Amino acid sequence: MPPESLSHELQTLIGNPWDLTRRNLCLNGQRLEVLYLRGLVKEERIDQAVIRPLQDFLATIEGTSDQDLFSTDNFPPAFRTATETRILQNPKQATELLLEGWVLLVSNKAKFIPALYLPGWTKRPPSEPPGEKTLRGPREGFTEDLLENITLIRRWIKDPRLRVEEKTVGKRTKTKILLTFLADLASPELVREVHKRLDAIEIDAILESGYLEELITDERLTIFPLIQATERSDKVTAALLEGRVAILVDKSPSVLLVPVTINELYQSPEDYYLGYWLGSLLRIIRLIGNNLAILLPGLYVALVQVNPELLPSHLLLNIAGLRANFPFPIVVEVLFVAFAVEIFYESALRLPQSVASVGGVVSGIVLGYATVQAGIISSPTLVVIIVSTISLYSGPNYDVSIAWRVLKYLLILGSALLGVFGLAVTAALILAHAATLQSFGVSYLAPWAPLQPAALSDAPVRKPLWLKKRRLSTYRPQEMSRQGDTKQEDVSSRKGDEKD
Amino acid sequence: MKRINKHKVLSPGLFFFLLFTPSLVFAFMFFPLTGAQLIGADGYLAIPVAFALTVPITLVAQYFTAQYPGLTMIEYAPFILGKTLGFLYNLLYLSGLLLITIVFFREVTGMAYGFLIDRAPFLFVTLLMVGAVLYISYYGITSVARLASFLFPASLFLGVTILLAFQNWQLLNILPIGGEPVGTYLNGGVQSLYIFYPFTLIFQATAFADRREKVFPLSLLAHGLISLLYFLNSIGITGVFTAEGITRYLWPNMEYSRTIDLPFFLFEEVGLVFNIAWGVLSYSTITIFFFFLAHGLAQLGLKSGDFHGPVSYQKILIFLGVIIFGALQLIPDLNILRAHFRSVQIIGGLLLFGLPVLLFLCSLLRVYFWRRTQNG
Repeated sequence: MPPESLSHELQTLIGNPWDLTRRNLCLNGQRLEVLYLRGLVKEERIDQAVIRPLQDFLATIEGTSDQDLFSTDNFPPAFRTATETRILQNPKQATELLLEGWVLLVSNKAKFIPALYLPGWTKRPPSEPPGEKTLRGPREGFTEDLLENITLIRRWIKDPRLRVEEKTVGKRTKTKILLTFLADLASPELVREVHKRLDAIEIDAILESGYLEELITDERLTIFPLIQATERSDKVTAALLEGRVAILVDKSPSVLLVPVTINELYQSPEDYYLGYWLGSLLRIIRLIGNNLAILLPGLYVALVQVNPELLPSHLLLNIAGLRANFPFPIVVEVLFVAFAVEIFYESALRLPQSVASVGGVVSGIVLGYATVQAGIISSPTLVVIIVSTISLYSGPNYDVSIAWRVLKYLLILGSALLGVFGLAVTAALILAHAATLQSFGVSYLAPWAPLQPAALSDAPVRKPLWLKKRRLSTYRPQEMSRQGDTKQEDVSSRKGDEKD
Repeated sequence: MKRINKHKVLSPGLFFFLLFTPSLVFAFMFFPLTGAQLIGADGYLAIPVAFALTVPITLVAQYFTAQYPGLTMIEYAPFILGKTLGFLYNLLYLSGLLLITIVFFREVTGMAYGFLIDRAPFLFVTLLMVGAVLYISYYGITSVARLASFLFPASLFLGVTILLAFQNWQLLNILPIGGEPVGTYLNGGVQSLYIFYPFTLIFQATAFADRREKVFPLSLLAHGLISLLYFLNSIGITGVFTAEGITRYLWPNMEYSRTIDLPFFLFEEVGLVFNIAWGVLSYSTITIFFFFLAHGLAQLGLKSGDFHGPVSYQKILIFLGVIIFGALQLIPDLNILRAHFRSVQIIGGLLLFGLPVLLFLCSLLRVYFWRRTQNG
């Protein structure tokens, strides 16, 4: 196919976009066209990696028919060493590669189209994910680049059994998705299920891993996250080592981990970096913080508005005294403050950092003080909502915090209607809902329900590493053994009663 | 992911909680009344007697599990008794289950009313509770059992409360021990059998267990643990209130938990948390009753190989919800229920324990005659 007609066909497929670069060359009597999309390709390398090897190649070949130019047998060896290459015959396929950052070489006579991969778009370096900060541990998080992300995982796991399987989803975006798992650990049934669900997706665009999350989740109507999203490479690595599957999506720094339990969403990699006493303490604090965040506003409404007889009398008198001249019922007050905090929170996310800190002071201290002084909100209500809001983010997972943030309002309403009984019924309903959920065949409430004593020993508290000899049965890994029997005396210089 | 065998969905742990939770909470709030009224200061001895009397039920269940693996009683009763008699048998048995479900549900609403929500409309509260129960039962046995498993720590709280309440305990209140004639204790034991009525669920639950060999030890463990808790609780409450004192209360255990005095406790009394713990466990219990009732009713017109019955148990659940909601409205006062509790005890005992024993005897006779015919 002559380059004119091929160019024409490509143009029909792609149009004549502003960023399409065509470089016409005439080398050794051959008319060639180099096509690429500016911005997607490393332009400074084109001369060195494409044109020069091409020139050398065309000078050396003799006796090759024009038709066979660039055939698989007769392809510039310099190209092969320079970068990833492909030989194409189909213009449609060539267009797809062009859109992915490949350089096409279109000859006037050859029936083959060589394509060279020279990606060159701007990338950001790996940095600590802002929503998953830790005090100890690596500071690297995933970026928007798929190759870089998989490299981060490979740098952790140097095991040939690490499988990386590619898929493309999205009719228009043709988003690359990588399925990563350890072949000897992850349950084959789980891997099959992930493949099945991904294959079933029919959508025009996948812009972020959140799209996939919504499409492959077990229960679409639930508010709870049934797939874990993380930007931390150490978290993904730890998950792979438990027999879970990671799904990486191009242009998304959030990697999806399946299956997941609600217990998993309260664990941070830091728990294992800080020693088991401190790790356990942090987990317990998180659990208390989470329960406080969810239950405190509801309990406050229930006890002050509906069941005041259940409060100790001195506390009741104190609260009654502080609320004596306030015009609104307690539930209105609580909802008012809670909504105000939600608005401040959303605004703070989008404000420039320097303004956000000032805004925080203004809204938190000045406004809070002023509303209490103005007699709009009572100080106990303010304390309750602030404690609840801060506690909500004590957990390491943003998605589950959001879920509880919403459910908190249900509990407030239940409490306002039926007091402590309403709170208990609403909480039981939420639990009941959670009991119906599962993530890729695993109960969402595991290891609490079904009760898995071995896994439970590493749930509310952190199990010492030297006792974690077996993997969690929750994810049904193929290989249960995690480590040998490392005894204290094998690694310690303490020799008991031995004399120096 | 789909399971290979849709029926066998209960791991040993889930099976245990499915039996443990209902039996723990069913009579928990008022059971000391029976022993105290019938026996007196050593009324707690009724518990070991009741335990001994109900162990054979577990053995009967074990026998049926071995004879008819993977089948519920609703399925194997027609094999033993014939189609028509089997159908009648199942209908009677499920009526018993319906009876205790209504009675227990009414106790729970009564308790909530007595202590927490005396101003809310009864209609609204029952509607809310029936809706909440239907929601989880609708999702099937796994969800119901998972909920029971997740709420297990609440049972621990009940256990801790029992121990904490010992702070006001007096030895003299539980004496003398064994001062009554043996018949009195036996009568007390028989009349306390209602405590273990929820154990009858074993006849249906075993069909869902994925490891049949664990059914018997787990049932016995649940049975033993509950008996121990009840026994300790009975000793504790008698030691605090005396037998005569117990009979003054509608819910002696609620009053018992209120006697706990913890300095700097967040609430006015521990009783509140006790009430809530019992309340959430009761919710789980009612969902279990609902599920088995609906599943049993769905299996009544069973076709061969159709484990869940020709009619979806989920449809029956809604119908059941309406029936139970209506029945609750017919018992406006809990005192009426208590006045007729003796009848509930007798009818419940005959239908829930008596019928399976009868079925067991019929099964033995059937085997006996079959062997005789085989031998010539």
